[in-house]
Amino acid sequence: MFVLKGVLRAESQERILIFLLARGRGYAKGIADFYSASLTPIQAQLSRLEADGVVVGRQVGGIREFEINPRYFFREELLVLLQKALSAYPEEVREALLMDRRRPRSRHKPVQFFDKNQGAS
Amino acid sequence: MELKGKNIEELALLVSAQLKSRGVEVVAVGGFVAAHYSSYRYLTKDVDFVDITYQTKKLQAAMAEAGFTRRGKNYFHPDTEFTLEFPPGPLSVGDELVIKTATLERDGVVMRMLSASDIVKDRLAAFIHWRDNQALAQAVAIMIKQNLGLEDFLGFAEKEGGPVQKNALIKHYQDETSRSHEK
Repeated sequence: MFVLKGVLRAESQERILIFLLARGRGYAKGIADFYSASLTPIQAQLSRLEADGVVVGRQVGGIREFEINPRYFFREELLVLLQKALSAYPEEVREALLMDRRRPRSRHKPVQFFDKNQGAS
Repeated sequence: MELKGKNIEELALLVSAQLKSRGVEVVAVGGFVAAHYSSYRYLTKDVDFVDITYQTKKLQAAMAEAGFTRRGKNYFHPDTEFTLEFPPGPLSVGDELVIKTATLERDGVVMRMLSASDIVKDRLAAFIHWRDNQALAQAVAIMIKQNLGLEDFLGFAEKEGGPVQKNALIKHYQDETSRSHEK
């Protein structure tokens, strides 16, 4: 899926920016895994976007976490463009991007899966 | 380029002139400019320039010609401990484009740099977005040193951050001014 083809220089760039728009933050492997994509082009485009000031990265533990640069001069305009691009994505992709669990989970709490036909198990 | 024994200001002037002679116009920004306006109360070992002519290839060629090598985002020279970086343009503070710049002149060499007022905004933006308290301290030190009024920056701090950041600026400014009156 490459909605902004003709505007952005690579599909992996769109994947990164859409992911960061939806999730706020992300790291190379997490982004690549989400799209079932190769890690190398994601890493390469993250480096280019960082060099151009579009995203910023910081070291968190052993990983480098990125976000859209809050000081990027065209940030507001970019976010509008990305929002519009995201709205053109298939609903299941949009939901998968937006509906990730963010609230904390205590360390030993068992994970409960919910089957809509049978209730919690 | 002969850089042995040059201080950071001399280095910045030389590099700026070298780039200008090759058709690349740069404006000094960041920690070096903050250090300059605070009379080097805060020291830095790198100089940041924004290339306002967007001539990346010419810039890279001119830096190589001057003996600099690039590693990552930084340029190094064997004769100096100072490094250079060229953050991407446009020249801006917060969401405002910078139209007017200041100049620094030494021995007939002129370099463009952010004005005192704009570097205060730049440091405030660093404080707001990176939660960098040292940047807030630098902003306030420059305001006091350059006799810039607090009220000129309250709107910027609120717009860029919010009431919490604006109040932090007010408190730090009041603390620093009362401390300097005690001395």
